[in-house]
Amino acid sequence: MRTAAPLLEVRDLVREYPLPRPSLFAPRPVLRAVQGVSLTLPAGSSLGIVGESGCGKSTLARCVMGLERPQEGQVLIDGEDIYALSRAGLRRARVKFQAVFQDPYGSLDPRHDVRRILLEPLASLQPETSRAERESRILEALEAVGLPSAAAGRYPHEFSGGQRQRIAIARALITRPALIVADEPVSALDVSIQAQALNLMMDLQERLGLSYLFISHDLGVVRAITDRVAVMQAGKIVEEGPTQEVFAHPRHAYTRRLIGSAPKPFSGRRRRARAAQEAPA
Amino acid sequence: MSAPLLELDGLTVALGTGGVELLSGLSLVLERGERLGLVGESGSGKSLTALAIMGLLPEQMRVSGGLRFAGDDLPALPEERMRRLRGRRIAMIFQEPMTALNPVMSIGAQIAEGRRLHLGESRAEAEAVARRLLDRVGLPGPRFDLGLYPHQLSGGQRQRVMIAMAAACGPDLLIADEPTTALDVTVQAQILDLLDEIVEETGAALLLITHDLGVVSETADRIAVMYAGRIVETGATEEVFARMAHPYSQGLFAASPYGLDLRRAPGGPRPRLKAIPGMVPDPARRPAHCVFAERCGFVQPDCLRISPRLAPLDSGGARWPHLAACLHPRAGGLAP
Repeated sequence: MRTAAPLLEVRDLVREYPLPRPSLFAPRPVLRAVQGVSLTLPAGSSLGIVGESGCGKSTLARCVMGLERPQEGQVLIDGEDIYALSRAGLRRARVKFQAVFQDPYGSLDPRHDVRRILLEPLASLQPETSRAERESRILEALEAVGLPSAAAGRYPHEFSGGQRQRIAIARALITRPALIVADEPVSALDVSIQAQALNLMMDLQERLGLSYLFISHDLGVVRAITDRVAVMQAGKIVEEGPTQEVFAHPRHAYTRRLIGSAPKPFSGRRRRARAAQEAPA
Repeated sequence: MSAPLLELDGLTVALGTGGVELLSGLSLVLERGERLGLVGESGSGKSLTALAIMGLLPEQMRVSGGLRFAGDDLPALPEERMRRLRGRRIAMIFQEPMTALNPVMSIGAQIAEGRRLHLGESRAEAEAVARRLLDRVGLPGPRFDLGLYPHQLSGGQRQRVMIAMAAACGPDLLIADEPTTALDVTVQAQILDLLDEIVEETGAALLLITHDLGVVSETADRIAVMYAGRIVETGATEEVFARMAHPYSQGLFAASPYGLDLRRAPGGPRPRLKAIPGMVPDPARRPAHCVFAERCGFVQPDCLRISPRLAPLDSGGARWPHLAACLHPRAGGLAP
């Protein structure tokens, strides 16, 4: 028997993008989007990645999803390096991890009804699933996200933004994954609807033992839903630790600046950028 | 006594005559030097309010009730005179500096445009002012030349250009519609500070529209919480935050992750956010009684019969009375 590997392990990941040459014979400059990132996510827990635009957090998510081959390093799911797998092997492994994206308008095909949208991962990853099994999976997924079974026959435009994000979550659940990579899953939602979606994700985590890799620029949201948090800046993780600890006692100057810049109710009128610079250690 | 700078007196906007009401009876007064935050979720009508003030509502929308700027009845003003107000005395900063700036016009020409048009300045005069404005908003030359185009700038830099454009003619009223929503938090902090300083230096009035309670709390002296096309609570920012008398204001705060207490029993479940059940009602299906009753945790039988008006909560005498449109306003404070 294998010793219990963490559900997700990222080792020294590097992802670079070559940029256009500035002139004909000049060397190609390289954008180092992710520069040697290592992470561990135990089963049943949630890890947040926070950082500002361009810090490499979405590139990291895409590498973990198997969508973007890193130049160096490994992504291990259940101890298996997904970039060392064959195509068929990767397809089998992909059942275990699914994604939820930011835009509930852009990530659902408007021409497909909800049934077809939900079945897409099954059809491509587990085509052998029987018809009866598919139907029961659809009902299970819809029920899990609190949508009526009649929703299966309707189209994305018939749903509100919050409901669409539930459909996207249901689609991620259909293969019964262990890990969900969520890239800004609630950023497009209004506060009251965002709270419903976050609570749903917490309920699902407790009921199904899911793990989340939760990527967001929103510190408040990450604070609410993660056990651990990693702060990314310019392709590197500058601080990582238990969420409550990091928010209460940020160690790195950049983390302090992020937390200090975030607007807070009850702070009264203030000049923010300066306050963030002067935030106490 | 002179007329207030901006006065909304029962402002109502409907789709077509006698059609669906999108804004219902908005009343507020804004003077130079004041900062008012308009908070609400999508569909609450906050952006529509801004468009009504700017005279930019779509054709098929009908305005009724009072909407006055420095004594002028805005809806009655001919387009020709409205055009002289826009950009000159009322200026707007939009959310998306990407789409709100002209991609094929240099930033210098865009900032100078208003002064040439409204103040009749020559190109050289207007560009000299544009240079000073760019320096002022933190884009100094020669690095930030007037000849740059929007695509050569980052999101935060573009928003600085928008602020320079809005401030160019020294307007009396600045309307900022979600000016920092598309920006990273550290950039957001810088832009809000800049906006704050510009308002302080010029003495303009600021109408700040946002969905973010943190942003209003740090920027506005006074807030108005909007829900389903009406103001449901308003008052001095500190007082509203200290009490939050309307259940929707309370709900909005409790639902935001700011309000979450992370403490939990060892091995216990993760604390949940206090989501507001249900959704904002469709404008065509807003009830005749209290618009929030269906989602309210404190609903009483009379809430389903009566549509409450904004009523004072304190004894009065304050510069900005604390008002709430609720038959059973909450007494308890929320402040931690």
